[in-house]
Amino acid sequence: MKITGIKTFLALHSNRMRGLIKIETDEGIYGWGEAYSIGPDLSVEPIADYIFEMIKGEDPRRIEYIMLKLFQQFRFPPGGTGMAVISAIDHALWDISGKAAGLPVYMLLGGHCRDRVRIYQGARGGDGKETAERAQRLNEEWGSTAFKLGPFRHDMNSTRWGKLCSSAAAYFADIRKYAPDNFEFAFDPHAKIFEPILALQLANALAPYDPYFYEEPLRPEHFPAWAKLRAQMQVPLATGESLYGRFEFLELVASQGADIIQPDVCVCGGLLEMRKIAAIAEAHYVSVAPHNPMGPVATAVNVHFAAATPNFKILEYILPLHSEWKNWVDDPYLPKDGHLELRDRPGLGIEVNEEAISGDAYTHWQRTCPVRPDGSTGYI
Amino acid sequence: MKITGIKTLMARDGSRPRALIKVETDEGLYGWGEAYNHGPDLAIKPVVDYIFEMIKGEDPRRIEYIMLKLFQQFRFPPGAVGMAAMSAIDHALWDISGKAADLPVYMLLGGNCRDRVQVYNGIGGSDGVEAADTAQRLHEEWGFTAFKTGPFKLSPADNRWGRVCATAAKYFEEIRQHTPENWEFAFDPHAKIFEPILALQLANALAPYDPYFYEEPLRPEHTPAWAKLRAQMQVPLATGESLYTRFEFLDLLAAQGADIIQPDICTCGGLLEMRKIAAIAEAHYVTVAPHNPMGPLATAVNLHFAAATPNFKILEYRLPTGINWIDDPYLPKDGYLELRDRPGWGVDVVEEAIGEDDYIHWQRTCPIRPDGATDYI
Repeated sequence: MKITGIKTFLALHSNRMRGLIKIETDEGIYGWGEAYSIGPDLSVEPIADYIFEMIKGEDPRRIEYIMLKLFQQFRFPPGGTGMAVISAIDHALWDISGKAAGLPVYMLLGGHCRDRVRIYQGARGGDGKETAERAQRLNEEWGSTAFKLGPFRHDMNSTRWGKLCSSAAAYFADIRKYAPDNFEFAFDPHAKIFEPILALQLANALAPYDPYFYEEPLRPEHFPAWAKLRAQMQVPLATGESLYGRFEFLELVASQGADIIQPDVCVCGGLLEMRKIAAIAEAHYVSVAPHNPMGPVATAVNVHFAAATPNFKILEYILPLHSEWKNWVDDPYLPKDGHLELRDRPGLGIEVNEEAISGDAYTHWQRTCPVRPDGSTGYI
Repeated sequence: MKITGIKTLMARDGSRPRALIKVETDEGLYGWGEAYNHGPDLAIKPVVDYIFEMIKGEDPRRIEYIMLKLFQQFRFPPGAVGMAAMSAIDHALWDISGKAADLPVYMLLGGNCRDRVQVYNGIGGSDGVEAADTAQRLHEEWGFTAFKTGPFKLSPADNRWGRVCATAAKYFEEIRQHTPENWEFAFDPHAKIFEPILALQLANALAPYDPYFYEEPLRPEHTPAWAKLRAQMQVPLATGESLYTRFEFLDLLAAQGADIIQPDICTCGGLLEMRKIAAIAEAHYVTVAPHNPMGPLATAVNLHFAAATPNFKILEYRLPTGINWIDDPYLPKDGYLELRDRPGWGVDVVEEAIGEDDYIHWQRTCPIRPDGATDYI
């Protein structure tokens, strides 16, 4: 079997684009992948086209061979846009490999070591009561029992830190008051805290109410700060959405910098890479809760990862059902009883509706930019 | 598909037994695996039978599920015999998975990232000239250009260490004099040196002649000694045949204790485990040169590992001389094993060639020092 073509589509998903990659072969079998939406998503297509020249004519089922070649040919760390495209190509290769073998992808990964995949959802509300109600509604509809929230109830750049922490605690106390006591709530400060000691104070404020985990409070660049923070913390520390490749994750887990890692299969290098990352984490007694804010193709790839990976914990999940979005996956994985069920269908188990994404006008998206009282900018 | 039976067969490989495991399914597909020959190999069958009760009725293609369950059910570290049995079962599960998908096993591992697998062969001889002759003969017949030999031309127990080292250097120098200069020669003191500084001295004695690698000079138990030795050495340090699972290899790698790791697929936990070990090694810039002194089935399993693993370096190889219980063993051509398209391992065990009484007792010899104390072999 030979790779004969790569097509790139930019599909609209909420207010953001999703770069989808379709790899075609001489045998008519094709595969789909999803690139992380870093922002400059118009770069997905030229990078994919550039990569195509390196892999055309190759057997798409030789995934290790192809991915190794791509890293060798890039030579310089590919970074956000490069890794997003490489990851999407990896997905498509697995999709093809599964279809060619007549097997779901997880059966190419040593088989499923679980029967269904637990998910968590976002459940932000105006106050603790509203958040609890939202969680309750999601539970009634989808069976979800785990949720993730932001901890900041005020503008972090213009509020005294102690007040910010106590309002986060009050918010969580309210949620616990109104939500069933077996629900899990994780908190995500979104890498906006610069000083590690402040991250510790916020973790301590949330600790009495049992956060499921405390996600990426700090920026990802300096690992020793993660090791020190984790050593001081009394609740699980999770991070990894901004890390690429096995090497960065090895540094994190070798420095004892996280209880849970959160690689994103759309930017960490793809499924092959994430399997290696998970193996490294497993040997460090660290579980994997994949970061997954992308679209339904990303969720499908994650389902196969989760099915086959012993130290998988829980999958982030966004419903692909908002009425204003086009349904560009015919049969997306939807939760039942808070879990996604495995499918027997060959490949990733979904079908992308090419027609639905072919005509999409590109929508520019970029992050907003918070400005501090002194006029300096902050992370979002 | 369901696991319906497991058989343990005791085949012979020269003076040593080889425990072969056959896992059978309700669909008629079966798979083969080979257990490491530690010595008490009659214990393999009861361990395998014990494991069968835990996995009968399971889908044999759910390898991660089954191996996880076995480690959980053992609860205590299984050690040599347990790991040998588990490794062989893992092999059989992959063989079945490949056959069920109608693919060679390497196509279930992300595909082959290489087209052929380089192998090295052991050589010995009373002196360098004889060792060089053996290497030359192996090269002419099979294309080998990499070899491994023992460094001890004098008994360490009966000779001053400085002389042992000087004699090893002279042996290597002679080999270099009588062989093409692009050939590789690795040296294996077989974990017999107790004091790390003596291991360093022997490595230094061999260093001027470019050893390919210096294998397992020390015992495997104390990892910090490996880190220190490697930090002092000027040639590649290889080890790992006595280590089990990703956890022990992570310890070694995190301590910077080796340039090359040498897990044995028949006792490290099997192919699934060795893939994880290799991924951990890769992230540490460490290559994998599998330990492979077992039979032709072990070689087949290793071939699929090597085909699919980017940081694979070279495979240890023994010619399957006198073995008639494998239908079409992988044989070197130009010093490489060629990949095959056949589903599963690409070889089959000839069950009829294994007799009821082919088992042969084997145990290590036991060296005695001048003071009457025993030694490692």
